[in-house]
Amino acid sequence: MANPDVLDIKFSEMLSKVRLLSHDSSLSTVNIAFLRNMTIEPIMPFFQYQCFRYAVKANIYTCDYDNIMQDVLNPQSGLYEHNPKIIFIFIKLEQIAPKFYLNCSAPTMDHTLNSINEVISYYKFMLDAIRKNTDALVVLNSFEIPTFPFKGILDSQKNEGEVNSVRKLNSKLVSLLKENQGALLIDFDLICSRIGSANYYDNMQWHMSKMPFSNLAMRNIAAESSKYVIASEGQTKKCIILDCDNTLWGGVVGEDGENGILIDQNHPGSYFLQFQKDLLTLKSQGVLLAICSKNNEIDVLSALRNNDNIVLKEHDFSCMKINWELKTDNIKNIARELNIGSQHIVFVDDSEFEIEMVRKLLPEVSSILIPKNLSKLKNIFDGKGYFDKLQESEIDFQRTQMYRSENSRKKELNSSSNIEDYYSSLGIIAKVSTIDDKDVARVAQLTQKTNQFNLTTRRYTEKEITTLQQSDDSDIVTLKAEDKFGAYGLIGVAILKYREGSFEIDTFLMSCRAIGRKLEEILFNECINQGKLNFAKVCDASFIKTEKNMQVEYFLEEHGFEVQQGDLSKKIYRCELGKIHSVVPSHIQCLYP
Amino acid sequence: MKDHLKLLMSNVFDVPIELVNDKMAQDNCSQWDSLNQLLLITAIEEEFSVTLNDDDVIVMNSFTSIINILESKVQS
Repeated sequence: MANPDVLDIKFSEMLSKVRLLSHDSSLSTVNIAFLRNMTIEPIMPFFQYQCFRYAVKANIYTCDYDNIMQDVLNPQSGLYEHNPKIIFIFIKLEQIAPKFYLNCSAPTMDHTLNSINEVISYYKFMLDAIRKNTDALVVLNSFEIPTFPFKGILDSQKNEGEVNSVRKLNSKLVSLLKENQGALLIDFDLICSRIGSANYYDNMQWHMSKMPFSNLAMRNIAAESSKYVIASEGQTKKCIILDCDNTLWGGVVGEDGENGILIDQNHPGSYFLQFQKDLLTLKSQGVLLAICSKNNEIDVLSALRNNDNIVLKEHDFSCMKINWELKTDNIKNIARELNIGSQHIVFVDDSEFEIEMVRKLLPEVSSILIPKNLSKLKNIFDGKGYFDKLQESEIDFQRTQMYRSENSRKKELNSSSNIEDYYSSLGIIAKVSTIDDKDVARVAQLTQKTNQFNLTTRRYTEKEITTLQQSDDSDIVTLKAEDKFGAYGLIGVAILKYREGSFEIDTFLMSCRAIGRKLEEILFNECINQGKLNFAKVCDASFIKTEKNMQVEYFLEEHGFEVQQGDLSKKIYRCELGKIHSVVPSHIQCLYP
Repeated sequence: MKDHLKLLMSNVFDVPIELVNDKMAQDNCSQWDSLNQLLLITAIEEEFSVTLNDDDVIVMNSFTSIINILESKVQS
């Protein structure tokens, strides 16, 4: 198949298609943002690919790791600069509400309700802040029900058990979103159910890189997320064009006669009866049905009119092309008569010949072959999102638009005070010291892996770190931190080299997990302290430009350093210790050994 | 197997296949960062139908180390 679904395409083929299509300037571009407190980068190519399949180019912004509030509260943040049409917010419950799981050994209903309300308040705060700054559609995930609670069979008996607490939280989330125009749920719990929790999580990836999802889960999340984009761009399907023989009923009506075709309450005619009933349900949701059948018209019409088991009647079909012409021509004519584009059509037929022809000549039509195994007929539309809508009706949509515009114009609190409050609420504790033996491996690893918040991107082996540690002319400063949600571990490293009367900042880096909280200021201040302790009067530093470290290009200037010489790839600085501008973040409690 | 892996790495790192050779390693390829390492693990598991464990992943930092891991898995 030319363009397999994201659930089916091979991984590296998908990557190369995404790269190719990124250069296609004919596609309509939609700005999408992802805010997250876990690693989701591997999902992005899957998501982009699925959007490309619907002729949409997703232009993606991803916030820094776990920097949701920082982006949301700052009107000048990268989030708002990106001007997204849709903002996806993917949150792992453990990361914002560890109490949900930690205290499950003796929860009471009160405790559970408290934990739930805290999460809802967090979301309410976040949604209100977003709405002040943008009209974008916001999509947030429901939380996955824990499938193996610690209390086993006893857990499901209690409302305050793990399972029911998360169910209740999800239910409250739905209620919250109903009050917030322009905010929708993406049901991660449902995705987990579809594929099974055993197939959803990748615990090794979670521990290694804070990416919790398996390959299969990533594909499903990408597919599900793309449905919101496709629906918002009006690229969903509006009409199902159906063949008749061996599609709406078993057998061939021209040969078996109107009552000889297979459709009734008994197996296997019951498969077709179920299929017709499902089609009727879709019709009641607003999907148009049409027939495209190679038959004598009278044969099909008499079946529809006279066979008592058939539930779909003539009037259920918006258009019928029953003739011996090419199906591709008929489909184009149906589209024209119904005044819809052919990309809004789903075509269902039992003939591989017909399906292949339509796929080749009308690739924008989604063509589905009736499965040989009729028990699978029930599932042919499952999960495709063909008929997805963002709201129940057109009137709802207009009402939503009006409401959002009104709300977003309201300016209430000064948002900079909000961000300070947010920082304080994290309860960050930082520990600086010079390197310990047991930190050598982690420090070396950080120098090898950190690309973004890294002034000079110098890579060191463990042996080299040990040498620097043991030398009198150098020091390695480490920063560890924790907040109310847990410990970050060792997340900042500075390598200092001492000379007569001066010292150099050879390396200054922060793990991407720890940016956006001003922890770098603590590390920086300690570098200056160490310089002073070693009788330095002047500090030398440099910035070596790479593709990835733009965010620290002016870090040294911001701290009072002056460029001594520089070109496009490197800047060399100097600053007298007395002139260095240091920041003491009031929201961080700092501990020294 | 080597050719298959070269194609896969060319795709994951967005490097022309002519430049992917036996000597490619994390320390001589700037595109081989931690993010692309994640993609590489996913791609290898899928395309070679293997499951990589913690021990495998730690040593998987060069073309040859990956070939060694894959060969040992195919044997068992």
